[in-house]
Amino acid sequence: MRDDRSHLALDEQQLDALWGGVDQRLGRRRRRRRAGVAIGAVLSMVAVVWVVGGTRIAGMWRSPVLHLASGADVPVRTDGALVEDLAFSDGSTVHLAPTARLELLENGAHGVGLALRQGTIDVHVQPGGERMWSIETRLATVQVVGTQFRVEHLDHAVHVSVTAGVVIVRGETVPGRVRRLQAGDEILVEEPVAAPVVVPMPHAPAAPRPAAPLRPVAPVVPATPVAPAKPPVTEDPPPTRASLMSRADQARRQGKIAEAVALYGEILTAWPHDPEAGVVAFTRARLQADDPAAAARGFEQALALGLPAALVEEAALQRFEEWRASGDISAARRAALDYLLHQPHGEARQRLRAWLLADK
Amino acid sequence: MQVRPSQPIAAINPSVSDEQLVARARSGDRWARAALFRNHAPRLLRTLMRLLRNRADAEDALQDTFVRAFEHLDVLREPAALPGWLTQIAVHQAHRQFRRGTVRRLFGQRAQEALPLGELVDEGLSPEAHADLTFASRAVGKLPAKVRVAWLLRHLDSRTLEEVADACDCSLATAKRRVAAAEERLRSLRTDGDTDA
Repeated sequence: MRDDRSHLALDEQQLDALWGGVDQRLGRRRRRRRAGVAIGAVLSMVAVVWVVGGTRIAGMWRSPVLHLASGADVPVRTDGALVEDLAFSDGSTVHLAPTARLELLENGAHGVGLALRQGTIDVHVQPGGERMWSIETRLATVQVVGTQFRVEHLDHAVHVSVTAGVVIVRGETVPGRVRRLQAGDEILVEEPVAAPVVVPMPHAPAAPRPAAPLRPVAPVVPATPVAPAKPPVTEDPPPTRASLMSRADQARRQGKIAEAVALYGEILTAWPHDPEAGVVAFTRARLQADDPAAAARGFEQALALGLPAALVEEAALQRFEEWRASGDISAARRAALDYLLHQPHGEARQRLRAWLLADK
Repeated sequence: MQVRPSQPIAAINPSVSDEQLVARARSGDRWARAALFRNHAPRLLRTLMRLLRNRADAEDALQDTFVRAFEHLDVLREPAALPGWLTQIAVHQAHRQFRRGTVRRLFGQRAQEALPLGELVDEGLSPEAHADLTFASRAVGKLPAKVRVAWLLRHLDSRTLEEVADACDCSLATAKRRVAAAEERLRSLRTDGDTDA
């Protein structure tokens, strides 16, 4: 008969056999865990590739710039006397009054920037678009994603009226610096002498409002010529660079272009070696749209003085555009060649190359 | 039970402490794991045999205990507490075996016969004690699992109440209460002579 205590005993052979089982199960679990980790890693990589790749693919499919519906490039300058409507590839439209002068400031995957220099435009931004539209005027900036509105340049004010959707209006003289306008609202952004007023319209019109005539919302003050800035003739200590910059920026924001140009010029003359001299020259050149040759020289000066990398391409392109606008084709060719030489990834390379070939 | 052909198990160098073996096992040293198994398997098998009263179940639970212990060795904060920690895992595995047995019975499988308690004690048992265990062998199966385990650990495995509390992962008061409840129930069964019910 088997001894009672043998139920509790564990001899060497049994011990080995039991350990073999434990060891085997540990190894199997380790392999299973490794396989799980490997599968997890692969799934994570697939997820990352899917997310990142998907975003990139979506980015590739999204056109980097907005074109006209005809497929042509958006013109840098548009004159209402020559062009009545701009129809864009995303379905948005801009109707220009005969007096309107519009400039393209930015055309990217995420935003379109236009500067209304004068006149009136009626804008319809396609809702649900990928780009934030921004209309710059001398007194206010109108930002919008999808809506219908009008921006009207008056002599001493800018009038914005919204037909559909919502727009954001920013400006020095906008109450609280920023105002949200809904359909039926309008705002008159005046020069600092008069406070802007928001006038809710009694009924939101269902259809776009006609381009003209516009209901007068504020008395239009006759245009007063803006006197060029004069150097301060006082007994006060000479102005510092900071004070001049402040005055120039203020003048620019208030739409006193000639005064701002003169003040920036003073700064460049007095502090030609300042590290920010290039940016000052660039800013001044952008304000000299009415004198393309001066603007082109300004961009040349800005490039020579040195600019932050983010502005170099724009300055090089604007130099070409301004020379071309001034009629100095020889200088425009030099600018275009310089752009092609120094901007290997520039967005306008194809257009400039085509222009050079056509110009031969 | 997974058993592969006999494989030489690590010979133990008595100068290597559990603390050192745990440290080496944590770093993946297979020899250290085998040495820990050799050090503690006989003791744990005896405990599991007393709880489960079946060699096959006890060996399964023993292997499960070590697999679980080696997989979670990093949570053992104090290597010196290894014996108590292993006993705690073994008791947990014994409860799993109880539950498996319940499921097997629910599906109509016949329960394996439990060994008499008298065969699961160390030598030197008096005839009177042996008679008590013969009675208890039949009655103890009627106790709730937690109460039964506490009583078996206390009286068959000769554990102190503190050790019972530690193994059952409960407070000392709870361990005392469980052992007392088991004794009371066994006394009651003996008085009623209702050991076969």
